[in-house]
Formats: sequence, structure tokens, C-alpha cells
Amino acid sequence: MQEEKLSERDPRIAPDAREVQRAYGGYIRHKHAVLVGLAAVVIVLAMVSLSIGSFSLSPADIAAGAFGRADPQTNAVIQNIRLPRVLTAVVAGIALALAGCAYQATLRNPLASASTLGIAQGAAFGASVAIIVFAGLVPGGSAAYEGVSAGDPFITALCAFAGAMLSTAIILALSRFRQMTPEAIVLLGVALSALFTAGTTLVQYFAEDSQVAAVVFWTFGDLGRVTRVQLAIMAAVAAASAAFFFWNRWSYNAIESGEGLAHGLGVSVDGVRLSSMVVASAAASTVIAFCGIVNFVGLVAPHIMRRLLGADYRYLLPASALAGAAVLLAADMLCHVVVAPLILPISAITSIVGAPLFIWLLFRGVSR
Amino acid sequence: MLEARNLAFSFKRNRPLLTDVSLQVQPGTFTAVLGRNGCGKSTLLSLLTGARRPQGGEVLLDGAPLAQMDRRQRARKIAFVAQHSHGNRLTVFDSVLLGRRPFMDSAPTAEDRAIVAQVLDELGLGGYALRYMDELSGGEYQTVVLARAFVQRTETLLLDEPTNNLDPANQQEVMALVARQVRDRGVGAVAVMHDLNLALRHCDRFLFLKDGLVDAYGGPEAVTADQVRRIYGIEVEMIERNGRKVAIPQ
Repeated sequence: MQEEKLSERDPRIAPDAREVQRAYGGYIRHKHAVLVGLAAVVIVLAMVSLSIGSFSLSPADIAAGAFGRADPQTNAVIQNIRLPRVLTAVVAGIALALAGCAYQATLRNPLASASTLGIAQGAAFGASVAIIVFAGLVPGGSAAYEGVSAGDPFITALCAFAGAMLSTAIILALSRFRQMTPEAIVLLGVALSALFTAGTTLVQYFAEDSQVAAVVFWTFGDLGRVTRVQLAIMAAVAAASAAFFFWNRWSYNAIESGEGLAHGLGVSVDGVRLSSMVVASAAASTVIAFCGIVNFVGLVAPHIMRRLLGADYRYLLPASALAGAAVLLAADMLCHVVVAPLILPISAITSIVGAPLFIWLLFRGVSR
Repeated sequence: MLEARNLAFSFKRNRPLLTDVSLQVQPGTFTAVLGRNGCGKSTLLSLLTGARRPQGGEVLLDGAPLAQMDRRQRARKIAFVAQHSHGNRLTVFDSVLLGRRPFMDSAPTAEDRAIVAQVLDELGLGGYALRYMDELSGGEYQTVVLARAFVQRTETLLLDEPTNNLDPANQQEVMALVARQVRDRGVGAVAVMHDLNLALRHCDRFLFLKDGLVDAYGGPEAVTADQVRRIYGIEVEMIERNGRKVAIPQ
């Protein structure tokens, strides 16, 4: 009787197995629904962010302004100020969250992020060197900070990127040389953070007040200072890194389940770890180089989503990306509304929002 | 068929761990690898999986050198159950689906999902499909780990201490599941083990490692009181119970 039933349907699958597949199909649809919901949250936050400011705009104004069909003032506000800033928040949030997610997957450590691995500190050191040491070499640069503005943003961004990648290179070189465990790699990152912070402090100690102010201003982070070209570069890097990480989603699932298992499933654990760290660092470094230090997004966004969706990187990666965009959009809005018309530094706001959230996650059990 | 010929391996230059180890994993056999802690049992498995390269000798898979195959090819032929794996926030279904990774291009197919559902059902895990791995008991967890190896549909199954930290009932259950794959599907299995009686109950080949060499290798006749004394330095009495050998510690 049982065999008859089986042959009527699919001979390979027993009825109970069909039930399992049906239940799994429902579970997958739920994941997709959460992703769609997150995308909707990002869109709503982006629209709110576009509408608030020194003068409010309706959704119709925003749509018209985005395509240059509103009045000249609205066109200018949307196209030159708000849309680039909102797009920067979305792209930077996606890139930082994806990088944090990839660090946490490959190092199997919930504390891994650009901030805790010394990459942000490397960028700050690079920016300090650019502003304080190289500024004098830039024609018209040296005293042109006028208190707080960096002389040549391109050189500052380049040096910040170089500093971040230097930190990455040191971590990878030492970890390869000594065959370090993921735990040791994170500790190495902590040591490098201290080293680069010390370097930044020393460079600042010998600088003039205006240069120190310029460095401090740079580290505050600012989504509004990103140019269209820089935004395009960030978007390209974020898209390429997203494709790379998503391609490796099953490898991350395997590594997180155990290195021995991953080896047995044909995953080159060292290869995936090395390449993912390079790509994650390139993505995070690009954002930091253009926007300055943006704390906690890379750490907190994957953690929130891990609790909501589990540790399946097929969903954790896109969900973290969307959460990163949402967190940065929300933080950017707070920067603009708390003491308007003053704009608060984004690095402080992401930390103020992120730190309590992170502490709450710790109390709820970070392993989940 | 998986075959190891004269394998040699050392972690430190002057301290060879394995000096000359040969074995054949015939289809439909279940081999227990036995020996003291640190004698190189797990290292031998890592050489058989290709995770480590031997410094002497070679591993052949169906007559071809294992070292020349790429990782995915190897994973399609050899399933490995590691000694350590982590409970995480993956569902049981997704965790078992990982076993199909060597066959995936970029995403699992309907056939991959069907195989997972079928194996979960066969192992009585259908009701656990959407539970998270870190919510399972030790016995349930290890059964899922075995399910992940079974969905690889390989001819060879290598297990590193598969019954670690399990209660006696779950130890028997896990070994019986492997033995069933050996019996019903003709899988050639090798398990690193410490429990001699568990091995005697479920395995049909026994390989004793000592001082980097194969000290004894054969059927149940290879497991004698003298052999146990040579390897572990303990006295046992070997008796026959229901047609099976049993070691009684003295």
C-alpha cells in the first residue's frame, strides 16, 4: 500500500519527506518575506530622510526633485544635498555591514569588524598622516585647513585607504606566517588597533592645533562630504563585494559549522578566509576613506539579523546589508534633527545607537 | 575504493607520528582505527580525506592519487565526520543541505532538497527539520551530523570519534546508523574509536596503531587480550557473547 502511494507520486520521496520539504518551503518563504520587509524599511527611512531638513518635502516633491522636474530650489536640495547623502548612507551601510558579516563568518568570531580588527584605526592613522605630514607637500595645502577642513580630500582618502589596507596586510601576513587561529587573528587586530591609535596620537602630538582639528573632524565621519565620483566608487566596491560574499555563502555556512567539516565538504578554508578578509577590508576601507570613521554598523547589523534570521548566510548577508543601510539612515537622520540646524558627527551617533544595542544583544546571548 | 600506501607524516621534523601505515577501505566494510591518545589516529584520517598531505607514501582513490584531485571531487567521493563541529543558528535542514555543497553549482537543486528530506525522514529527523542546531541534544546533534555525511552519497565515510560525549544508548544508535549504511549501501567506513566493545559490536575490521606503525590489522581475530595489552597496557579477558567478542577489563 505504502509502495503504491510512493510510485503514484515521486518514487524517490516518501510522503513524510514531502512534508519535510513543504515545511522547509514555508520556512524559506518566511525568510524572503523578512528580506522584503527589511527592504521596505530601508525605502521608508530613505524617503523620510529625503523629506526632512531645513524645509520639508512631500514624497511627490522628492520624486519630482530626483528627476529634476520640481522647482529649482527643490531640485537643487534633492539632487545636490539630500539624495547623495541618503545614497551614501545606504551604500556605506551595506558595505560596512557586509564586511562585518564576512569578518564574523570567516573568523568565527562575533566581535570581528573593521573597528575591532584595527582597520578603522589604520584608516584614521593614514588620514592623520595625510592631513598633518603630507598637507605641507600639497600645493596650497598646509595652512589651508581653515581650522577644520582637510587640504586635499583625495590624498586624505588615499592615505586612509592605504592605512586600512596596511592594517589588513599586517594581519593577513602574520596570520599566514604563523598559521594563526581565528581567535588569535582577532587578538592581533586588537593589538594593531592600539598600535595605530598610538601612532595617530603621536602624529597629532607634533601637529599644529588646526591640523589636529582637521584630523578630529575627519574622524567624526560625514556622509555629506562624499562626492558623486566617490559615491560611484563606493557603490561599485560594495556591489562587487556583495557579489563575492554571496557567491561564498555556502562556504561561510560550512566554516561556521566547523573547519574540519568545511574541509571535508571541499571548502578551501584558508583560501576563503584570506580572500574574504581582503574583499571585506577593501569594502570597509573604501567607505572609511571617503566617509571617515563610522562605528558599530559593521558589528551590530549582522548581530541583529543573526538573532532575527539565524546564521544562514544565504539570508544573513542580504539582511545584514539592509540592516546596515537602515541603521546608517536612521543615525544620519538623528544627526540632522537632534540639534538642528547643527549636524552631529555620524561616528558618535552610530556609537550612541549601536553601543546600547550591542550591550542589549550581549545580555540576550550573543552566541545566538 | 580508498587505499593508503606506506603513509608517513610528522608535525615536527625529528618526531615522526606515522612512519609506515597502509590500509584498504573495501566497500561494505567498517574499519575501527584504535590506539592510544596521540598515536596519530585523527592525523591518519586527515591524510585519508586529503586535508593533509603525507610526507611519504600516497593515498589512492579508485586507483588515482588523491592529491591530484580537487577538493570538490574528493568531497563527492569521501564524506568526513569531524571530531569537532559547532552547534549554530542553522536549521537542521540547512545544516544537512550543506552535505550537498560538493554537488552544487551556486545553489541547491530540487534534487538536493529531496535527498535531504529523504535522509532526514530515514533517520527519524523529519520533525527536527526546522529546529536550530544549537537547540539539539548531543544525540540528536550527532545524528544530524551523520545525516549531513549520508546526503553526500559517497562510497567512503570517514568518522573521527563519532560517539564522543554521547551516552551509551546514543553511542549504539550512531554506530548502528553507520553500520546500516555499510550493510545496505555498500559504503566503506572508517571510524577512529576508543571504545573497544563498541567497535567489536559494529565494525568488522580493526586497525591498531602504535609507534607510527600498524601494529595489527584484520577481522575480529586481530582483537586479542595480548593485543589490547600491547596497545593500551591494560589487562582484559576476551569472551564470546551471542557470537561476538567482548572485552572484559580485569
